[in-house]
Amino acid sequence: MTIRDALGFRDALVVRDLCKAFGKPAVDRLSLTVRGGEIYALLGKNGAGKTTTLRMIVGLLKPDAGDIKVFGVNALVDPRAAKQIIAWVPDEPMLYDRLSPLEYLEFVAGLWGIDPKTARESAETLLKWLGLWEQRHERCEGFSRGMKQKTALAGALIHEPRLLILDEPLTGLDAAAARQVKDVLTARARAGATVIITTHILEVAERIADRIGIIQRGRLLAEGNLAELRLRAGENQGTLEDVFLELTAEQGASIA
Amino acid sequence: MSFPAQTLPWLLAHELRLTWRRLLSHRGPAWRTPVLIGLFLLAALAIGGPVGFALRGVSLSVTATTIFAGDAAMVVFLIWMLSQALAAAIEAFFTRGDLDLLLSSPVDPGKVMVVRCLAIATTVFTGFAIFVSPLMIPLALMGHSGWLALYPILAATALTATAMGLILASILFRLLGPKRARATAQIMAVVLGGIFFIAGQLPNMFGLGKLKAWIVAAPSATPEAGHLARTMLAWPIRGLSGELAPLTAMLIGGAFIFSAATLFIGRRFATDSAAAAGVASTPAIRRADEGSSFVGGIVALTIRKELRLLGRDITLIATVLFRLIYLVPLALILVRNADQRLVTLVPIGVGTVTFMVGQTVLTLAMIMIAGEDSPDLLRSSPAGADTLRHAKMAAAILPVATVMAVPLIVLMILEPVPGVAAALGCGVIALANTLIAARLQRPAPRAAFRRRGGGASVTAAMVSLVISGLIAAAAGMAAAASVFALLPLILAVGGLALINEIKPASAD
Repeated sequence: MTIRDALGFRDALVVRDLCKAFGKPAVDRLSLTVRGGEIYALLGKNGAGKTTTLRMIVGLLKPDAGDIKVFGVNALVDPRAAKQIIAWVPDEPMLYDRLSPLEYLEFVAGLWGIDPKTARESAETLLKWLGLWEQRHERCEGFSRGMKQKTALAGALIHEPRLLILDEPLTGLDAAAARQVKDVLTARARAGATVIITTHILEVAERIADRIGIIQRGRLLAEGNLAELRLRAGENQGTLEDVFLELTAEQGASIA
Repeated sequence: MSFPAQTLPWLLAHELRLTWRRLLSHRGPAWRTPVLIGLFLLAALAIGGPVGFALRGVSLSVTATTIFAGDAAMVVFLIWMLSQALAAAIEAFFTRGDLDLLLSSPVDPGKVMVVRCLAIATTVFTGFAIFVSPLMIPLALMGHSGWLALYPILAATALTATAMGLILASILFRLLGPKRARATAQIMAVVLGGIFFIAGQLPNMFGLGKLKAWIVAAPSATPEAGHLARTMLAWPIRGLSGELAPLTAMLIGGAFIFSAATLFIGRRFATDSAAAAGVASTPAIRRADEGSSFVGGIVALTIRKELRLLGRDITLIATVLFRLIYLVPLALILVRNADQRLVTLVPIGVGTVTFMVGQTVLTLAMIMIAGEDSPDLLRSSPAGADTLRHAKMAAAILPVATVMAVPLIVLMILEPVPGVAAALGCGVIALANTLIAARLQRPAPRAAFRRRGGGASVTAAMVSLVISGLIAAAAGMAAAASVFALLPLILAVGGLALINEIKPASAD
């Protein structure tokens, strides 16, 4: 037993030697560990394998090889148990345009088997928290992108997931909506949930992430907090953007 | 061949290319096109061949009967074409969303509108020309080349129907606004399409006595055409029998009505379309019902969700209504025949109703089972895929079961054996078609099914036709208390067992 285990910390996600190929490798023997209660930003250029990795973790894609454990549950052996504690928020909100936010949450709560009374209370709390209570009976088809993303986020949070995975959640949001989503993520992490996020807005990762993983060509290139990454890149005072560009360029050059 | 830019033919070629590519955009296996061509040729041989052979020595004479028959056929075509033109006008002016580009260009807006209207007329005409060709080509080859005059008659009708569709769409837009106009037009298109079917069934529904006698009374009273042949009423039949004057008059008339509608309404459409584009980008706030209760398990919640989504989608409602319009009169005829103890007709009716139930359920199953806007939400949830699929199957069957419950119960009371056969047949065929949709149809967002009117893929549709045909035959034979009903039933069940072994089609 490690000191972290003894102190009650558990790894939220452990990925070992994960592989997936679509003709050519998209994810190539990727290994990473996300600790419980942290916000982990997974960064990479377009096509680096971020979304493929996340889709395998949430059970939407079957890996060619490797292991995925979510809070100790083997997601490949018992996907149902793993899904019970995960929430997935892709860049395109998983909504039904012709349902209202309340009806959507009713259905999502049913999918996760939440007790109706608890679900109703949670839905009210979430919609109020996200500023959607006044629109709870309006159909999502008339919503702005920010409102849709917040509705999807409410759906992801209604079953109180222990691991929240978001793929580009801030794409296309205005400043106010983006701020609200970031606040929600930090609040959930403070409440004990683990958050994994991918984003191309590096300032966001720099500001909210406890640790950052950079992947390139399906492999983990570097991992750590900003100070550790700076050290690795030799950019003592650089921003995350400087570090990211330095590391990905260096790796690209070494591969070439 | 390319035309000079900004000219009318150049724009028309662009429109027709878009229409053609939209038709080809539905993904399908490589063998689909040859199979469709094969079916077309088969239809030409199976339908046109015998008819052409039977009519090879017959000449068309202008009598009161043929005049009325020709007019009736024209009205049927006109109504059917109007439904097509109305739907196409709404799509072209209020849905497609590319008018902003065209109207912001230096091309004359009037020209853009004329071309769009012409494209609608061309599409409507082409659809019907293809539809009648399996009959007309063999007829022409077997000595009735003069009857090819039907094509110009269809062209004149298509021009008139398009003009009417444009005027109707414009009126609806002005009266109801863009969103409601779109919805109302879709329902109207379906209702118009169903009107002539129901009209054709009226004698059967209410008895073959007085109504039929009334319909045929006028022609039989005046066997010779007389002054009738000199009126406009005789133009279709005179045109078809090879007279150039009425044919030309019809074409000029159709072109005149079309031109007038296009010129007078075209510019107005430019304004209306711009308004519709604005509405499309910022949809009006629509309140859902406030009945979210959070009560029920995942099966009940999924059924509720599917029915809510169906009830709020006017295009899909129109699609389902379209099927029900054909189903309800058939069910009523069946009950009436049972009431009158028409022993030969009842089994045929049982088979027909069973088959139609299958096709209606297939449409709903395509929308509800294969059509899913958030497949990743379902797949990333811990709810079992089978549980969700079964709930969606139940949701697809429920609306048809509700509509059919009363006629089937009445039938069981009037004629127990055919009644039970029909009820069992409908149940089996409903389950079979939901299974076909679940196993053979590639999942896609509902919008994809909405665009093609809830239609199935060629594979799913063909398998459904075969299996449904077998089950309907079994139900019909069972209604006649024939032991041979077991034969098609065993074949259908065998086919379904094979289909059940297929892994559900994946969207990935």
